[in-house]
Amino acid sequence: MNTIPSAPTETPIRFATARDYIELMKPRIMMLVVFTALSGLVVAQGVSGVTMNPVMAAITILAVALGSGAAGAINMWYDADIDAIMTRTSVRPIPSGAVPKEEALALGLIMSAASVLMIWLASNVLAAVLLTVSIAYYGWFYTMLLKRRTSQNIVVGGAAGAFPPVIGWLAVTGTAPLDAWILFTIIFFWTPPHFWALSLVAHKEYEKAGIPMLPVTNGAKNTRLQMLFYTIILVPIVLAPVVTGMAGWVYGVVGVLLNIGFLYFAVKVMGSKAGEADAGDPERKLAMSMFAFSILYLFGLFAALIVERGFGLYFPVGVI
Amino acid sequence: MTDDVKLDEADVAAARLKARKSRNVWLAWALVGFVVIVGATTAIRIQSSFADECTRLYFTGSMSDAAAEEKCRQDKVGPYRNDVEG
Repeated sequence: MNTIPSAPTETPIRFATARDYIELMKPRIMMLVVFTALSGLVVAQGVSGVTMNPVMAAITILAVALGSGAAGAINMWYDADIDAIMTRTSVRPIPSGAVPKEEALALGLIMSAASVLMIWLASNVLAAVLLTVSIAYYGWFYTMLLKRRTSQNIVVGGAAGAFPPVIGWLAVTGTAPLDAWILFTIIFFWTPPHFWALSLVAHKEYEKAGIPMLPVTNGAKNTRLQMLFYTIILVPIVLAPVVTGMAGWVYGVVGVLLNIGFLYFAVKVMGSKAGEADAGDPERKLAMSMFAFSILYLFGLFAALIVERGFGLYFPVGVI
Repeated sequence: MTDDVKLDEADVAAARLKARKSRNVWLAWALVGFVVIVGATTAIRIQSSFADECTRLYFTGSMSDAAAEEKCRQDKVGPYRNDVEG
């Protein structure tokens, strides 16, 4: 970031650098998206026996990353007003004055087109269509329609982040069988407890910005209960790949251990005062620990799938 | 005081130019990368369509080869599969 004092007593003027544009693309979300798309791509090859040209596979993953970045930039363009209100997001490129709003929108739209074209060239039209749908789902449906209107924004909007493994699968086989949709469902049901753990800590910020996050509309206790509910639902869904034969022992053991950990946090958060007005530092730390563990949880599950199917460590459990 | 303001304005202009140049370089690299990617995917697709007559996507110079078409019909694969009965 280039900063320079505009006058001895004024706020420094900021000029955007490449780093600001990368920030616009929400790189942390992009990492998770890329990882889950890669997982879908690897597992599809292992399950179907169809192999994809490695260069085409790399371009497909790059396209998914760009698509994610494009949706992130569109989200930041639309949410610039509320980002400026919340302390956590006030340092983002648009509210901090580094990047003009119009540039963020242009970047998002151009990258959307480029990513869809790239994935179409590298794989097939179905993968390109689903990437288009996922960009529109996050950039328009979640950001512009759901986020400011309903407390279920995270639940419905969670589908946007769940598409990448299906896109990866489609890119390889041109089809999206049950196994691909199981991966979708894992991310879909993982998103609410993951995000609400963070919103239990940041609920005052959301309230200030007028965002109807669940802790703001329904209270902290109801949020903690729903987090536990979604975590319990997640247990059989996470173990479903073992039943269908998509995953084997490695994933099964990792899945059971991670589920125990996630349930432990969900139960502990449920019994705490996290998100309440009189919550202290230990409660905030507990909620943040669950948020951090949830990221490890998803990475762990998809890493186990990649290890099994990508490195020849698949040993079927033989449930069916 | 006037000199100070002038100096600041010059610094701002220089910083703005530096930032713009940096952005332009990144943009140029992004465009080069995009062209390389499109070129690479096209080359790989053409290469694979030469390797497989029946599933080719691009004209390979053998469209009029009746024997190749007949073979694809019999194998029930490729662009001719819609012509196959059943």
